Amino acid sequence: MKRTTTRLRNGHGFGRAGRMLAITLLMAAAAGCFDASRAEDVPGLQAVVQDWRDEIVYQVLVDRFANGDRNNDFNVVPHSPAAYHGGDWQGLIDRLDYLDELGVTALWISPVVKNVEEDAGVAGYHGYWTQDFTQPNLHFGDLAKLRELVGKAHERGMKVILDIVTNHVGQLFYYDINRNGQPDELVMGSGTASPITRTTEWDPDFDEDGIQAFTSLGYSGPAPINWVWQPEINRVPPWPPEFANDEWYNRMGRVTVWGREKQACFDAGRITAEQRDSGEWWGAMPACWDYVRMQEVLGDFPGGLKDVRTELPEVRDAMIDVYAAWVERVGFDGFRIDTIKHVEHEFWADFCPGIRQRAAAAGKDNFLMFGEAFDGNDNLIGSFTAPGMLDSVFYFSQKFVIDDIVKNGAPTRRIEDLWKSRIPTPESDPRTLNYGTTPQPGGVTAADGTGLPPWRLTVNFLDNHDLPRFMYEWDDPAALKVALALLLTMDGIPCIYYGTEQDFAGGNDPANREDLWDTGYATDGATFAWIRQLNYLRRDHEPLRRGDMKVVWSSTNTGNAQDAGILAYERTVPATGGSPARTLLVVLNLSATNTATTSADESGGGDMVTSFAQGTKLVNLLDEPDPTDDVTVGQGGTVRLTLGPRTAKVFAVR
Amino acid sequence: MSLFNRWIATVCVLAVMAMPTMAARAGQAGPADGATESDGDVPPAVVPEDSGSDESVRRKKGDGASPDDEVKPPKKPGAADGFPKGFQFGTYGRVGFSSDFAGAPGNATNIVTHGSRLMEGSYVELDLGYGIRTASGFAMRLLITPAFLDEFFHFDGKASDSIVLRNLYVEASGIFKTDLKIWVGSRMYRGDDIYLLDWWPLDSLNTLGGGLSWDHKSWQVLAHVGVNRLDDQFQLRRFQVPATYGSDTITLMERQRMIASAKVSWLGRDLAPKLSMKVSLYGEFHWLPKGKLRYDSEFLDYFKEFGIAPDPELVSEMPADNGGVVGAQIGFWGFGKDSHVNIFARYAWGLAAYGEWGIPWGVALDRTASGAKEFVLAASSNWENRHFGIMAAAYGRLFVDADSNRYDLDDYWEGTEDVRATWFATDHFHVGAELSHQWKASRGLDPTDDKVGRPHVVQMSLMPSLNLERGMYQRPQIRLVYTASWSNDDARSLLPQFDERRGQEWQHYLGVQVEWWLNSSSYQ
Repeated sequence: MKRTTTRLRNGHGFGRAGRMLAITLLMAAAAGCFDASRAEDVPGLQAVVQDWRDEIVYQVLVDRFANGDRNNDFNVVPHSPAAYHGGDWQGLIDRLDYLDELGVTALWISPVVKNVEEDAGVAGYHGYWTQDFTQPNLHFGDLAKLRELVGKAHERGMKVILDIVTNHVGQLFYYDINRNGQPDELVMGSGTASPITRTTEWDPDFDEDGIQAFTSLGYSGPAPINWVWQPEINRVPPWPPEFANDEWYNRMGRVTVWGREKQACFDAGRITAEQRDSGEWWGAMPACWDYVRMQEVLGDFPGGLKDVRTELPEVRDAMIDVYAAWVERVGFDGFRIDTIKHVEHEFWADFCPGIRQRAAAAGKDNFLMFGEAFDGNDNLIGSFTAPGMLDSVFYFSQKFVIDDIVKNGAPTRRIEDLWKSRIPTPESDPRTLNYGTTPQPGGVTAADGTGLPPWRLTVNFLDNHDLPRFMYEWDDPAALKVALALLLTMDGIPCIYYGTEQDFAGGNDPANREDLWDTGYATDGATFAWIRQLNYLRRDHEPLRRGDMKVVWSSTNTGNAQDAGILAYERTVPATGGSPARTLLVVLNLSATNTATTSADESGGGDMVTSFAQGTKLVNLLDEPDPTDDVTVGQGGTVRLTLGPRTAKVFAVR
Repeated sequence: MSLFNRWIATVCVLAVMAMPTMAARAGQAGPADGATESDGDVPPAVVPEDSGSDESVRRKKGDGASPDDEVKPPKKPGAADGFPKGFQFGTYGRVGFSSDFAGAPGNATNIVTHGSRLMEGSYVELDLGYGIRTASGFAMRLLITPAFLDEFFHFDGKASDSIVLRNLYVEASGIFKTDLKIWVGSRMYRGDDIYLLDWWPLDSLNTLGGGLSWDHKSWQVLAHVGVNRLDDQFQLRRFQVPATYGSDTITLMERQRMIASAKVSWLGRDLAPKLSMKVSLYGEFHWLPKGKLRYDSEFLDYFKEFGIAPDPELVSEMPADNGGVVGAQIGFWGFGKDSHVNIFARYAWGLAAYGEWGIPWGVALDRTASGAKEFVLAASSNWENRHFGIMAAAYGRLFVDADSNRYDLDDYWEGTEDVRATWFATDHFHVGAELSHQWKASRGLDPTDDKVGRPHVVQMSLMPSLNLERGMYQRPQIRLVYTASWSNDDARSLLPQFDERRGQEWQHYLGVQVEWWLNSSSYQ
């Protein structure tokens, strides 16, 4: 025994061998496995935005952008348009270089919250079917991965905007209209003595009295709503649990007025048959306007997406709480807010200040909120930027005007007229302006800290995930090229839908949600190069980002008229301190066929007048330097240019 | 506590646990170690490294045989050392019933891969062997081991119990009158276990293949090659196609995983008075060929023509993959009856990190397990005298899957420390107590609070028992087991949503159990 003990103490037995083994293994473990970083760390909560007008937003439908992690490919069916395809936040992280090369500076990512997995064979890959406001959608990654995405974007100076929905939740309950305790497709009536009617308890038509229960014996009061328990597709009551409250939903059924507004108003007894049959726009009839707006605000979004009763103060508080938490947890830089026109204005007057307060408390004091009001009515869109509400909205009305000009050959004066109802001038009557003219309290600011009014912050776009792609109806790369030049040189915040740079041309949802990985993320295409050139031009020239915009030429003409298709505007940064004013001149020919001139001399008018002094030499900054683009300003600031169809030029003082 | 600190703590626990046992070896009488003491389970069940020898069938605990037998230097083959003639029977099993004090059976509360075995379900193995020997010393033996898994007929009333075939092989000895043995068949293929945790930390394979063993003086060499082809789309894809009437089945993809293993052991008997030692080095290599799709060229055209999209998972090719294991074991025994210390270290990478039956999760973007790793440091020990016995085990394990996520719930350290002390009140009545602690340290966030969770479970058990003789390894053993388990908030948050145990810090288990090993190929 003694000998053995000695032997061990001498290091010939377990002691030495054990110590050596432990040390070796410790070193191996420390070298290969230990990482001191922590998933709890929230990256970049401090504000990183100088001036939102400097940003170029790139809209990403996460499921279709890049698949960086096969392990979250649950229920993925790659080529089924309405299924998950496998894109995720890791994929986005992996492709940040691609986006950097394109020159975009901010990402708008599709909603991140846990969704109903599928409904009627369609998956919630888009993210707009909220079930749990608090948890990430694990198809895209977990919270740590989302933080990593935001952190790595911030490291590059890239901002991340989160898409959120306050109007509705996914299809989490049905209306038990026949009170039999199960969801039914009801067919009633005989077709002889009574009409045959069909009602789905998942998504019944709007009833302003609320969806009513009825049987063959007649109506029997408000239909109860029954929450569904289908955990296999995550169709379970909402979370946090306070959202599983019947009273928190309007329960009026789906909106049915779109495309048949006057008939719907007539059916509801709001207008007469004569009004219905008149040529008057329905929106000009107050009774009809009110009825349509009531449906839009209180009705379920088609597809059975249940309308949240945002009128209730406790609902507003809950919405502020769940969405502010995402800013605090992840460090997002702004919100893109879905379906804002389906929520009453008063909600935004509560929600926006509440979010601003929480974001500022988390270090995000330049937090942008812009909303989607899918409508061509400029007045309605702009109304959500009233004092205390949103910082900005998608400029849908402009999108439709651009389509009309570029695709249909409408006169360019249309867009100038539209801008006149947004951009204040010394002569304009504030009552005629559709967009907020004063900065939102606590809202976004310019680099110098002064508040930016909503009219300066409209989010401009050509297409998005709810619209056919720009190239779908008009498969003309030249049209896209000149439209992109307009998008990236006018005032406001430009937004590019993913895949535009790859000439995607899909039609309506879901055809407009292509897999970007099919392109190989090529960076040598003409459109990619054009967008990159425009992006960097905008980034390099402050007037294009922050300058005031003044239209110097638009045309009322169409077809082959001398100036048909011409739209020209100046972007000017006023003189400050010792710095002189800087102006860039943008001249576009939006016509498909007409070679146009910035002049109306053929009809008795003159040449385009700019603010440049006579003799100023201008040079075109786009494409390769071309001596023929050198222009000398004539008497009185006149500039006479002739542009081929679908041409864009951006002039700076040589 | 950081992962690094936790790792240091685990190593310290292992070292502290081992040293007193070593120091106490002096003065202990009786047979030596129990280094291979272990029990069967599914997937595990012990096969001694030299399993297949007649010794493994003939020996049993408590009949005076020394556990040293398992690591004795190999004997020369021959009539005295070959397989016994004729039919042999052996068995390992455990069966019992229990309550959670709320009307349901008691359940284990585990958050780690290897927790205390005390609350495991029932399990039975039956060894059916037959030996044939020639006058020249050449011998062969067939061993069949059916096993039955919880739950049994008398509990669930179902006439179809779950049965698996754990062994079905033939082994030959006395080949060319050398020390070489060869086996072919389906076999549990294992080394030494940690009894308290019911775990074989270094080498534990279930394989269909063949191998050889060679014993010479103090050296033992084991080698084997086997295959598996799991009934999963990872390795097997079948597809229905039209036939003249009805349908036929074609195999779209089929690939076998090949596993080769080798182990070299050096046995140092009686290096000092009452001290013997064993050192083993171990390695595995796993190889999975590319998942070649086996269909003729018209297959996809056929679908395309009719606009039918076949399941993309069915027609996606799988890449070839591989992985390996290196490991080592050092063991000491001889310092008391059934006393021993074993220390294991194992590092696995790639495909092997998921185990031989593992279908890799958390794979890399190319669908391989490249980048996955597992590291294990484990120890077990036992010391006892006529009146008391103490058994201890601990391990720390790192698992990192193959995906690139740094903050992943699937990447974690885990560990268990477990101590069982027993008072041998009489020859047949013993009172045991067991204390164990489990922990887990994942890098991912707990979705309930966005924090990095630090789950812990502590289990305290009291275990009076009836035994054949004094000793920690005496079986059969009839025992009453009471266990109180405490789980912290993070441990309970690992439970599914709405599981009532999420709100219960304490869980209780009261069970009556019997465990035996009799002439078992798994338990010697």
